[in-house]
Amino acid sequence: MTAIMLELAKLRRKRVWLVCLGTTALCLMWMAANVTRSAQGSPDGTASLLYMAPLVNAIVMTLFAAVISSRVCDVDHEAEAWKELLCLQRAGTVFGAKLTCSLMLIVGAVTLETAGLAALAAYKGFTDQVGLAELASFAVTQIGPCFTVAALVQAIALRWENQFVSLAVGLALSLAGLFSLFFSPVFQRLVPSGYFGLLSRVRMDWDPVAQVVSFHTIPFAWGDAALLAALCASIITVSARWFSRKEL
Amino acid sequence: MRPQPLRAEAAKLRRAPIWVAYVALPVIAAAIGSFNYQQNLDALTPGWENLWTQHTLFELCFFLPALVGAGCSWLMGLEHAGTNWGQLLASPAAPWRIVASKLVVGTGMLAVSLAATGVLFVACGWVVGLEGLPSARYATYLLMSWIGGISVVAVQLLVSALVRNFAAPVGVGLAGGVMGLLLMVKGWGLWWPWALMQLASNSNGRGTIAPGELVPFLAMTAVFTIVASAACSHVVARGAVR
Repeated sequence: MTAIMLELAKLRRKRVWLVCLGTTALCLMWMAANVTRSAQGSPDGTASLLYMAPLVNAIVMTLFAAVISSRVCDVDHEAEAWKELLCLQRAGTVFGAKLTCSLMLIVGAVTLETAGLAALAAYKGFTDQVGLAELASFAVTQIGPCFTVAALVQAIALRWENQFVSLAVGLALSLAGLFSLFFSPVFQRLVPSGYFGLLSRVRMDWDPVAQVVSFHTIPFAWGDAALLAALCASIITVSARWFSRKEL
Repeated sequence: MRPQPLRAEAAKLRRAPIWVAYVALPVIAAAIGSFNYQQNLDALTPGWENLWTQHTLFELCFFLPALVGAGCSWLMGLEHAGTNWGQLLASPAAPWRIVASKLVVGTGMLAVSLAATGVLFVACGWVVGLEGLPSARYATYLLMSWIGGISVVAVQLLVSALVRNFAAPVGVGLAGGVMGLLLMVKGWGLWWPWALMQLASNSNGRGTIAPGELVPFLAMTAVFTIVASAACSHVVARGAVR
């Protein structure tokens, strides 16, 4: 707990909460711009929002995860504090505290986004509004991929002092995540940011003859969630082991 | 402009292969775009036009502005480290020359990315079975995108001069790109620097700048570039040295 408080204290004047707010505002603005096309009181407005959100998140939240993860690690690179820090704390503790810090920021941003989505749906008077359980399920499906990206970027941000590398990887993951949504699930499973779409519970049907779009809900993809958890655990294990053996 | 600051910027790039990212991004966009094009041939009209949109839509709207943000962060981050600003401003180079040389290097890196996009577009076209060469208008799209992109580089340099944090300007680049897309749809693209690159590229297949829009496009690019560079020089001269 002390280690986490210490990491948060390092970020006190770094305006990371502003980044969270900005990211959420950007996601909501993007979705609101699309939702204006839906009629007031539309019967599938919320479903269309929940369908669109993973697409937006694959771009924005992936980069957000990379940005905050890089920021959390960069504070110690900037201060050239690694030698001192690792004399006072165990490497595993520092690693875990930084990852927890990123997770807290991700949870904050996704929760705000989910609340914003519910508010948007209520404002437009969509008749298919969903309950708290559905919203919580949506938030969990977005936090998982975001956290995995953060873990991967943290490994890179700790490895290389030049944060251009970690952000370039974040951008590449963002691009690959977005494109993966247009491919088969096999391809999506290879990219951490592809899980935004894989874990989404809303699917779209397009009738080319009638030119009509409809949405339907599918059960929670436990298999893909387990795969993502395994991927995340592997990334954390490998990078934590590497970090604890890092020569300073 | 005296060449010394420009030479110094080029020397800083020598052992920092960040150009790799400027080539890697178009490679990823081209590989996935071509694959997507192949997979959707039943829904798309085969031809260079649709391959172009598949290659460039996401790259130029979202990811290239963010990558430019990362590049500008790197260019400014070098000086933010330690007491480098103090040393740099104690040298006989005026702040505006330092900013101008960073602008030249930033636009050079953008040119690398756009050139890679063009080369990969032609190469992937042949791979997916398109015949001949695409029309010269695609080279014009790239050239005009580069011109519009100069204003993005200038604004991102200003953001990176103001924000010492390396990562946040990358988010600003992405946010600028997304806002650019939304404003372009509303017809206000000329008023937003990040939208200028998208406007010129025809990446959404809705057409590029009309002949009548060329002068306003160039004028707005010049205005954004000059205002942002002047502001950046001011920040460098007054505020950056702490």
